[in-house]
Amino acid sequence: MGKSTPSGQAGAETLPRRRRRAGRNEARAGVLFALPWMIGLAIFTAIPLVLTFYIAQARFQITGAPKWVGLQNYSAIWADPAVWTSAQNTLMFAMISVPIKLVLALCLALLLNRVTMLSGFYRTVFYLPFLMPAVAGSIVFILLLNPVAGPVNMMLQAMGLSPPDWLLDPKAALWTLILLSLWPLGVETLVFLGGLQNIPKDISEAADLDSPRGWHKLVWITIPLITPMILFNLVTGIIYSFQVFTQALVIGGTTGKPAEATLMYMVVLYRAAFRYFNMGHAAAMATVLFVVVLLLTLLIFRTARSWVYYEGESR
Amino acid sequence: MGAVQLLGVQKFFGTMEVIKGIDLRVDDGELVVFVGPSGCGKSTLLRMIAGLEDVDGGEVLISGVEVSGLAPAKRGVAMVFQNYALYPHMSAYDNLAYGLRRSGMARADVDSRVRETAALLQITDLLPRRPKAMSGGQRQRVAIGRAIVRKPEVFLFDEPLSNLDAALRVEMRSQIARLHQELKATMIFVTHDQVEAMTLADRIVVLNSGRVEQVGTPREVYHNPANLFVASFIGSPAMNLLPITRGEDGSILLESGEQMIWPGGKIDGPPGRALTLGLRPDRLSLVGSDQGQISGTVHLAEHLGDETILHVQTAAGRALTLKCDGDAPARLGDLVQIGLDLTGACLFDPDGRRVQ
Amino acid sequence: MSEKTYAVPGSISRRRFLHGSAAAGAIMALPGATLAQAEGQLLLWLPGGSDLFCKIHTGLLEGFSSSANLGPATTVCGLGQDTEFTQALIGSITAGSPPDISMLWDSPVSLGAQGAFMPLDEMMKNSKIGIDTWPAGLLSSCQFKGNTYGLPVTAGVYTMWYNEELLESKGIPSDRASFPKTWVEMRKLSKEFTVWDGDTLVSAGFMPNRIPETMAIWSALNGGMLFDEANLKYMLDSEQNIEMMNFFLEWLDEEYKGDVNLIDRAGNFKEAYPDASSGLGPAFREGRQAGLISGSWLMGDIYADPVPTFTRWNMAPIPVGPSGTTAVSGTWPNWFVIPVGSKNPQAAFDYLSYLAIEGSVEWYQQIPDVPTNSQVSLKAPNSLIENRGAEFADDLTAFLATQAAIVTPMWNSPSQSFGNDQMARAMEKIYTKAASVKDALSDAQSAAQAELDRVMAG
Repeated sequence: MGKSTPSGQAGAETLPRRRRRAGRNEARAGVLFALPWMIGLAIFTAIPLVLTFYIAQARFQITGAPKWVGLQNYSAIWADPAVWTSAQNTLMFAMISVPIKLVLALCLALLLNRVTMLSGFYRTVFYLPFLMPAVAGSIVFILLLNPVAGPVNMMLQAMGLSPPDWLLDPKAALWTLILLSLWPLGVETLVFLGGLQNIPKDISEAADLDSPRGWHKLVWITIPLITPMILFNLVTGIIYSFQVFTQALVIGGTTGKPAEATLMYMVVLYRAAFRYFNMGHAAAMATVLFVVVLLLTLLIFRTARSWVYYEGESR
Repeated sequence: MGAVQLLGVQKFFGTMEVIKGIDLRVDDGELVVFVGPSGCGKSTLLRMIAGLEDVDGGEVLISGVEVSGLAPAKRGVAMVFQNYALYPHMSAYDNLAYGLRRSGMARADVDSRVRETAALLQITDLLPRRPKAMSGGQRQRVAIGRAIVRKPEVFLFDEPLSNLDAALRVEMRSQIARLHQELKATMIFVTHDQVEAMTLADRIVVLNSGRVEQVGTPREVYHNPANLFVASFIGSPAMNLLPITRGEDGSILLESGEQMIWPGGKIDGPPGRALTLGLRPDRLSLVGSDQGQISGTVHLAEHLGDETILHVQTAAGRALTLKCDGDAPARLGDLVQIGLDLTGACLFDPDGRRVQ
Repeated sequence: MSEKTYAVPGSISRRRFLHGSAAAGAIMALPGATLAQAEGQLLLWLPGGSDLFCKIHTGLLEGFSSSANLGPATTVCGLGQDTEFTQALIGSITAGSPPDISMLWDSPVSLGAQGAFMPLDEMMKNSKIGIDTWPAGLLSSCQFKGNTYGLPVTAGVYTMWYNEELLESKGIPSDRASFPKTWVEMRKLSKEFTVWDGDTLVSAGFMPNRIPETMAIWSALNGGMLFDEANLKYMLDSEQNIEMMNFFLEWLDEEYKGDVNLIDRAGNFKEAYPDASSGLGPAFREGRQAGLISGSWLMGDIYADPVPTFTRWNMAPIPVGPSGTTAVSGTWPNWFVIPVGSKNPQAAFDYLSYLAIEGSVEWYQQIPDVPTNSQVSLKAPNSLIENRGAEFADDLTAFLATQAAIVTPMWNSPSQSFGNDQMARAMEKIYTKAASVKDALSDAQSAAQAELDRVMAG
């Protein structure tokens, strides 16, 4: 053993070292492939993000260097009634539109999951609205909901119902915006559909043998198995709905017509920057939104441990 | 109670008829195995009984009730799937309890029923675990538990052991046999593994291309195959098949020109009638020179310890399989003489029908 | 700004709105031609407008560039409207590659105060368009702390427009001199024309004002003001303004069932253009409204679609409020600025002085935006002569000149948009009865003043 031990040790050392080198090469290639994306992230996301944090604490002129003002912008947005009104509207919008959207998308996905003929066609059709510019979609809705000549009201009237003033009545306008936000359901539906199709057929059949009621299977088997997709859609839905902008701007302009009912947080942020030229105000609002959405997302992820089933885990 | 009856059952996939009018009766408490090559329709037939596939023609009766229009859960059947099909997000306990809870059973009753079943299958330790944290055998036991716990009239097993390793498969096989003894329930078991079929079944149903080839006890299908298909499918190693013709006197004329006397006397039919002789490998033996009916070269020798399987290539180019003693001297390349023992031999006509 | 169009022939159409929005989407990737050019080649941005509007300005700039021996010029139209355009302009200025000249449809004071535009005072001193050649009230919309950040090269002049034929059908004299001189008279006359069919407004006389941008005029007509430029104070909740809004609200209640939504469902009674969001036609052109306040740009637009159902329309001074003493008018100018970072500031200024005197005359002939420099004498536009004859056209042109002379200062707050939005919000609250006149105006006042103070502190 005396002589063989050192060589044995050497052999034991070479192998991991070689492996390490291979790993390093692989890592280098990986970084190289990810580099364009990382550069893009830095230029278009990270740097603007840091700049936003900075400008949020500065008085920023269009030309010239920003002046440091500490927390002054934050106290200004705290005192701005438009910020509170819009935050309230946005929260309301999110709390109503996200659950409705998830339920509708799930229903649609359940239907599509049963369709065998022309399934590709239906999937495309439901996805297409997502590709349409939000401005165009909003204008189509404005025309459809026109109180005088719009087909929606004509149909409702023909059915003997008295339709609301979709865009003029402050009580109805937020609901109109919510309705509008429900329209492009394609992405959420496709995510759910992916989850549904991932459920093994035999598990679904086992559930059929265990109970004759469809809703039993839906509630106890299907939905628990697609909780990762629900989580994903919930988080992206909340992030999206907190940032609802284009539709709100088209419907309500920069003043949130009617009566600030459609005044959304991002609209207030946008008009602060590009209508009132108060960049610091806008940046502070953006920072607050960032923190709120981040906290909310973390909170959802924290609770997710108790209700999301992941295939990999084995508790 | 618990009898399953199929009357002219048909199934189409598109225009293709995959189950071609099957009539079958499985008695209460019987363990019947559906066996056949892949694509023969055995799983489809089982799933039609379960209600997971529609019945396109004929009737399915369970306990005398026509169930074709009933939802799977209302047929009084339970099924064990090949891939276990356990609910991955539930513990073993919840997997077992799920069906009971949904049927509205009281919490305490559910608990006692689950624990009782777990004890029977010795899976009490597994109850708090999720399927991911179990081995294949453990999962299969839980899956069987999920079927048993509901006390169905009929158990359906769809190739439940095919994902297990060999040792585990033997163990599970005996456990299923034991369960059948204890529960005295009707069981239908689908497999492509004929050893499973032979060891488990009260009766075997051999299926081929959507048709029943033979129904009988394991002994019957082994010793008295109804046709060439069953003869060649059942038994391992497979039955040897040799082309023969009828001699003038009703004797057997082998390809080699050797003549043999049929044990039962004469072969029916006209002289020169072409037939196929079926002989189990254990009916062939190595004999001294000039004593054998056939000679050939050893192509492959499988030494299994207590026995040796010899694969021999005859002069006429036929492949024969012999089952010999473990200490048989034959080696690869040896020229050997083979003696035929026609006891229990079968004769098939060119259409594959058994004639004698 | 509301969805109204400004200084554009033809009404705002949904098609054009879409066009503008799509263009705004493209701002993120500004094409090369929209970015600063080499020395000696002028680049002009326009904040929207029709094809004709774009063509006129392209032609004017090209003509000037070639006669001044500059390189080939570029005019960029359709970068979006309102805030979208501002967004693009701010982006180009901060990026250091702005256009040499830009037209603005919003007061240049706010951005000028932020250092986005070049002060023009030095260049004006030695030019033919010196400070004294501009109406002071108009130029104040470009001035901040003693600097002039832009020029109101042309402007629409606000007057009352009325339907002579409709008045005569009720046996009411239709000449300008007989037009109501006070709000009280106007409100009294209005009732003659207002007809309801259940909750549907069939036709109307005149209306309480609902356009926030013109509120400064109505306030001045009642002896008040929205913004006191000399003292840098907003005056939104002054006595005169409270009285004004109370007058309008009572009028709405008395004659229009107190419900602006009922009015809006029956047509566009606010402006003489189709409504951008409901698509409803202008009641005035449809012969269902006796009269309304409008800018002089309507002279060109009125003969575009939708064509009026009558021929004889006329203009009159805007009546005076209960607390007012003198008639005033107002404008909505077309401002021109030279952004900081312009590669050709002197050539750009030379173009502005050409545009202010010679160019604006040509522009006026095709689209009647009134030249504002005192050295330009107004001439009746051709389309008006064609439609109504030379005599009427000359009379109207002379009338517009008298109105242009009594323009009240407006667009002059360094936080113009913010103040305007506060006024719009207050009006909406008042007209929908979401708040009392006093509360709504005092809310608007404190918000507008706070923002002004913030900007001034900057």
